[in-house]
Amino acid sequence: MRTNWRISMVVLAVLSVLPFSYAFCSPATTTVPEKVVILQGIDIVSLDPVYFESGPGHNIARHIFNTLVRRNPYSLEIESDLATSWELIDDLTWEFKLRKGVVFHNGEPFNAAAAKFTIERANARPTWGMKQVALDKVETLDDYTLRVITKAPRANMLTFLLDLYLMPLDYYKTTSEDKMATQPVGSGPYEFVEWVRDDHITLKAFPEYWEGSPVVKTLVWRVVPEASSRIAELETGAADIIADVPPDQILQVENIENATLMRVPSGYRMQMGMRHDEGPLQNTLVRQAINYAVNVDSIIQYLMQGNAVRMTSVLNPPYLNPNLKAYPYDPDKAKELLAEAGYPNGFKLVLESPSGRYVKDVATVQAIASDLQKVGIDAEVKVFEWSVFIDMMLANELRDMWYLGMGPYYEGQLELNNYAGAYPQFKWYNTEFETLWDELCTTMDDAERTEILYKIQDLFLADPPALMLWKGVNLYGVKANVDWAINKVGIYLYRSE
Amino acid sequence: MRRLLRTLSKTKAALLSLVVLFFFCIMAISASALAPRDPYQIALEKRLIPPAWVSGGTSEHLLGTDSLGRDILSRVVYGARISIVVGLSAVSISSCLGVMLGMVAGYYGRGIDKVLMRLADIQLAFPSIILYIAVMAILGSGLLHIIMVLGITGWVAYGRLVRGQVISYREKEFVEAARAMGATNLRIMTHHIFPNITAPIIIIATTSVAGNILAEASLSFLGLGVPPSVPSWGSMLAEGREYMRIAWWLPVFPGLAIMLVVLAINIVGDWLRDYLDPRLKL
Repeated sequence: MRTNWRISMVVLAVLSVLPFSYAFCSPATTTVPEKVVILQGIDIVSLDPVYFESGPGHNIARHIFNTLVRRNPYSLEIESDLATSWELIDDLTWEFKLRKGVVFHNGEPFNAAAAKFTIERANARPTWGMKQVALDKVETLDDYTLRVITKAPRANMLTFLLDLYLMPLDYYKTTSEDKMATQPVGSGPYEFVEWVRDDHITLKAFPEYWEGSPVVKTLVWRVVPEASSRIAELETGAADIIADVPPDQILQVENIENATLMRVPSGYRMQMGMRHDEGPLQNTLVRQAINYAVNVDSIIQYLMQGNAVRMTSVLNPPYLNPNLKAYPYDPDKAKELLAEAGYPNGFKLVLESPSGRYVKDVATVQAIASDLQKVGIDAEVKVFEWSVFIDMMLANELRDMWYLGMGPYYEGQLELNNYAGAYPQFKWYNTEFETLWDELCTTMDDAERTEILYKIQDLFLADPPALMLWKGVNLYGVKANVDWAINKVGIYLYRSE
Repeated sequence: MRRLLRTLSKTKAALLSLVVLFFFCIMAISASALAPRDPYQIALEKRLIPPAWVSGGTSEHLLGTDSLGRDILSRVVYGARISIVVGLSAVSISSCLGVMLGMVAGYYGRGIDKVLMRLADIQLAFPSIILYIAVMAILGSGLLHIIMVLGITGWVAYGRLVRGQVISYREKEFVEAARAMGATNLRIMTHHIFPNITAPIIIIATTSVAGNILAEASLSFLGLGVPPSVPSWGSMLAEGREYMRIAWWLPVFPGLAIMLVVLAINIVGDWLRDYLDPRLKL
């Protein structure tokens, strides 16, 4: 694992230097492609800005939309996007100064009214994290000053705004839901051209983009579910960037001339979620037993070929408690715990897996099922297409355990919100956690928040609400003439002329 | 003389095919005794071992292991079970259904004939694989569902054939005689007409076993068939296709198994047709 971290550090270091090195290249020597084709394994469900739910979806959304604040793709610091500055007036009131002179792709100007509309529309959506902001109201002081007032103190207000894609008011107010889902209008570096479902999404450079018109004029995001087909297309030159290279086929990508393999620690928290409002999983001992029963290290070593980092806590830095130890592989202990919980002969469990969304998703779930069978749990694997799987998740229909990666926010509260009930099937029924969570939600002091988050992480190990697996390392194949680095937030290709 | 040689060579192929089929049937029936290992046994540390005769292979896994370290030989052996169960049971359902409906349509004619034959036309106009996919998407995957889908949608071939045959026999003297003696319609259909039309039914049944095995493999290949841990040739092929370039043995052996069985059944079906068809007899 250590070498992995070293590799990731090197990659990060390289990535953070890249933007500067670009400045030293004269335009004459760099041949920047006019068009970049990116292959991902799944299609998005909707292009409605409040409905982006998956990493590949956010990759596309970031090019079409702006947000109030964003994470620097290299340092991961929160920096200004369309909010130039922000200030906490009192515990409940956040004031944002907005960027002037920004226009949306349809010509509408960006102003406080658009931002207010965006926040209110997102808040009305049942599935979005915004509902945890406990929004009271949004006020516009003038055209470029916005006040967001919450019902309770929200220390992590800014992280909630990271995925809040700003929408032009007139367009989204007058357009039907169906059209919103297929014809997005934002203010980002690229304008939407077309979406052929399960095939491709095309974006073109927006010449009036406030940071400058992008160098690459066209981005094509294609859906190629088969990893070996993605590699073949990289080889033939039909693709410039491919996502999710399977660890078994790393060598194939490395052997392609003019292409490199990139390993980027993604912060994606892979786990088997557990629904524990019913059945044997209600019992803490059973959930502990499952964590003992699965040989996660072996799956990382053989199936992922070392391209993953064992998860000791569900949080990413900076709130990650570095002193935690993952559950060891101990099937005997698991059997003991099951017997103690009253299931000496095991029980039936359904494991649900999306297919093609994550590297080796179905194989991973099968390996987990096989380990569970070894301790007497009759685990059955069910496989679903990603779009079906995500619909089931949104409709609260997943059970008993399911394979899912939770996106990185690098902020403790947001990374825990599923367990507090953002998606009901993840809800962690633990009174101690519920108390700590309520405390966390209203605490503004960072040191105190860290302390609470450390307590929650201890609790997470003691009464695991999920089977914790690993944090992913994204493997990309990138053509040499695409001199943009794939960064920690996902794929973000904007670079101005 | 030349004709004799031709039939002989054909018979040889049929004989060989019968041997192959017999072999696969034995494999399916006694899979648990024949398979060297547990086909479900996942052993990640032993993944992607090549076949024994390739460098890096071991005699422990004659045909190598798959991406989860499962023994491919054992999975192919167990896969025969799925294929043959699906093939035979779907054919039994569709032939029973088809023969019944075809007889009713042919014997009674008129309205019921029109309704049934238009139904058959509608179903024939629909590409079968799309029909399977649609039904499986609604019902959900699973072995029983595959058998039901293939069984129920397969009736058309039998139905149309039987109807045609029944119409031609309906007016024959021996049927008239039976009717004159007071036999009921049911008795005429089952005791007088049916024995005369068994030969073409057997031929169609044989060839559609092959079709059903292929359909199961296709559905499993598309991820709509059996659950992923169950060894089915189609799902093994689907999984193996990802590894085509780094581990050829994953798709090749289940692919060979499908090819051999389907080819053998088709040759036997061909030979049966020649054998049972009175017009081809000298």
